[in-house]
Amino acid sequence: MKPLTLSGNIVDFKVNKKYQDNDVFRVFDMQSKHGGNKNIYLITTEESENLWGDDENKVYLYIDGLYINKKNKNFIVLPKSFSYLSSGDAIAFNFSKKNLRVLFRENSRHNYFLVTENCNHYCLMCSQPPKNLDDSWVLNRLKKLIPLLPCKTDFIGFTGGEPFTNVDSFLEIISLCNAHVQANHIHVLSNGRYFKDRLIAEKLSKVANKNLTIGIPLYSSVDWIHDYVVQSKGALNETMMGILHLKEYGLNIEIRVVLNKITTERLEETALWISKNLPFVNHVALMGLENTGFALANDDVVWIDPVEYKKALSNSVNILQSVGLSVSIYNLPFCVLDQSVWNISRQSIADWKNAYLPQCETCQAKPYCAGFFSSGRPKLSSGITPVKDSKVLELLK
Amino acid sequence: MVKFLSQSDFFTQKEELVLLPFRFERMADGRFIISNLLGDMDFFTEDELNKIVNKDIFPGDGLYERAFSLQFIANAPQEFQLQTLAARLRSRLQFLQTPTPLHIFVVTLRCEHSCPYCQVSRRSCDKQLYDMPLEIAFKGVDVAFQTPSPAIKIEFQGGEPLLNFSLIKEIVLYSERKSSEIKKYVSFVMTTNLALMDDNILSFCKHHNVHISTSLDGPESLHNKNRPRPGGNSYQLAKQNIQKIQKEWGNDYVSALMTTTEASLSDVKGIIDEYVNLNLGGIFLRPLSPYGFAIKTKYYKKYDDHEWFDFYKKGLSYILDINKKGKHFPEFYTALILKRLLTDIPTGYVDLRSPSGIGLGALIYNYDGKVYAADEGRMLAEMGDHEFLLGDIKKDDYFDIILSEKLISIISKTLTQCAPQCKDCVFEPVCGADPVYHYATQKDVLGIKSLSKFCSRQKNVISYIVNILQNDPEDAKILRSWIR
Repeated sequence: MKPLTLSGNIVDFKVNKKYQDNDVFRVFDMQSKHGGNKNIYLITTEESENLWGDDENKVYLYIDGLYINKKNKNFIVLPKSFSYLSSGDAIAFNFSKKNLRVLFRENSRHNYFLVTENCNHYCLMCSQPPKNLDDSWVLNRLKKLIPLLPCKTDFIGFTGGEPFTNVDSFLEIISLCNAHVQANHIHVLSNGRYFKDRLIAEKLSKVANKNLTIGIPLYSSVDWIHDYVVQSKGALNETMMGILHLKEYGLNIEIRVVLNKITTERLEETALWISKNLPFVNHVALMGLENTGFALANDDVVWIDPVEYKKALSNSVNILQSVGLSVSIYNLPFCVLDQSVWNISRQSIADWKNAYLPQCETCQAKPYCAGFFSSGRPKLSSGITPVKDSKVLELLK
Repeated sequence: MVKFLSQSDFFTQKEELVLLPFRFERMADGRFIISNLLGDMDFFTEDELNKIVNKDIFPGDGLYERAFSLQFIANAPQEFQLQTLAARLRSRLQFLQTPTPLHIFVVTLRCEHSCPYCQVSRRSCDKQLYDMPLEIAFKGVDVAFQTPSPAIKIEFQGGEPLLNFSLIKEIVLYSERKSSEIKKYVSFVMTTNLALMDDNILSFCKHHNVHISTSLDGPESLHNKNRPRPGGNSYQLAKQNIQKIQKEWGNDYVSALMTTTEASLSDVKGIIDEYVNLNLGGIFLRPLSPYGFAIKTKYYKKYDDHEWFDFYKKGLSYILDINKKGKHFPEFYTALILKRLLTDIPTGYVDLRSPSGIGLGALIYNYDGKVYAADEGRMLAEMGDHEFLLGDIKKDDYFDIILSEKLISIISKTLTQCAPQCKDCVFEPVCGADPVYHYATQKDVLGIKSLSKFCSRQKNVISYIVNILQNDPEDAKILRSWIR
């Protein structure tokens, strides 16, 4: 399965008003004509046939609620690959460059917004390699986007780069979320280092609601190992100080351990250390490696066949759970996991992340399995085998 | 092309390396246990210990990583380990913020059993002198409700409390009224041999949520030998009433305690089977304490601590087998130690605390209104020794009692954090002061620890558990399941 096309070029458009680049628009159905600024209407197949003729390769949007006829019309024509768009979605258009980016999809339970590509880490397996350039326009675009989100949105995620690079602007975004959206979960992926400054943790606590969780990667209990993975000396110290400060202000914390060759070598030790020193965190996520970005360049240092750490992983889960921690495993198929941890293996909530292989067709666990990344260049474990044990399947249901 | 730095670019320099506080102790097999400030511990060889002490360790050699992870060493300019340890120490001592959650009422000293190992020196049934009067009971409740703890537990003790159940009813009703008036949560537990249990009593307990803690020493012959009563039917009555409570109320409302006597030593499996068959949620392989009749009848001296430790080890291994078959069945003392070893959750168990749990953890209101710092303290008093007498309910309130010179002096003398021998002990973070035991056996609340059976038992049990945790993954998994 291929990932959805989230950005691309506009095939054709005509708009009367002057729009700025990166203005954000919300998609509505033809039927529910809301009117108002920054709304575009999606023309359904049937209507587009009437208005435009039968052209299967294009998606039609029209803008600003003007009458539609072939002569006097504002319209945007997109490639067919955007036909998944539906009511509630949000799109940024650059009419000057004739391109667009889909920022939010109502049908996805996994809308992550990139805040910046700047980062003070340079992780060996980063799936989204950071760039050192001024991208403050991304934050400005987010400020336009947030008020357009459906007011009942279950999940909003923020990622980077390091989202707290520009602390004040990002805290504004969090405030905007709270003002416009009743979200059940707001998740921010951060390395937590900026919170080594207690004042920043305090500032965050003033704008954050109970629904906010900061997801923080932690790779080892040993200074140099964590610092090496994130390629920054002193990182573990600052991240840990950050976690302590976030806890001091009652913020929700998730620890994320990406399972690669380096982190799995001492995984049980790391788990024991987390269980003793950070038993207060709200969630521990153990995550299979996404073979993309820097992970490809550092293949020899980070790649490990998950079957090699199967036992260490299940022991680590046991250690973490025994002190009452909530633990989940992501991005790893059942066939490479010990059966004792199948119940905490989560299917990615990203609808494009659960891809499967031809041999998965005969596997009875497939409907519940996390499968494989559809992104990057998936590297396959030697342990992949269809599951055919009906007793075990009972447990999954 | 992107450039990545190599591992060695992140290595801590030798001059940045500092030692954090840790303690160590040589085991019988020559290995050393090393423990950090909070009781995170593991086994090391003598050579490894020397290397750590001399900072003769280097990133990547494996020993550096273990020592760093256990917080024996730190990178000097970095403060996260010190801050983490400080936060954890605060958690461990959190019980100090909610003093005296437990209040024990000795509602009568009368008992219809005549156990030779009795730790409380019961009196025979016909002496009304040994019942607690109503006004003393109510004053005791008033004092209990003065404690800062937001939740208190009232425990009914004896003698046999069921011989004065009418008073228990009054205390429960009065406490419930006070609880709703001043918004302090109260719960109840009654320690009883169950022989005199009847439907009315059970119905009252169920309605007012008075949990039951009883005694069960093992199979019928052993139990009845240990616990004689007229009719010789202690076992039968206990068993039948345990089952009745479980059936009519639920398994969680009744628990049992066993006392190890010389006769128990040869039958640990039989004793454990008895608990398993009765669906009791676990067992406490409890050694006899040197108080009350146990001293007078010389029962206490009938086995030594090595014999008890063998009994415990055999028992624990049998219990682990039971758990391996899929039944959750903890040994409660092991579970207490595990909780101290693997978490920073402040313990409610008064003997495993420092500062000691006497007074701060529990107060005992004797039938005559005298207030003691520990249950064992009133047992000593029955033998004529008033070391742990803190006050009298007829004239003192909670603050008179808890701030008494006597209590403060005992507690400050016995802090394991600075007590001789304790302060250097590798197990200190996991252990407790137990001044009552040391006073009872050595006439000194601090005691010489190398002569203390409490101390040798703790060292034996804790190192045994640590060894399983580190060296037997399958058993370790079971032990970890007991801490919650």
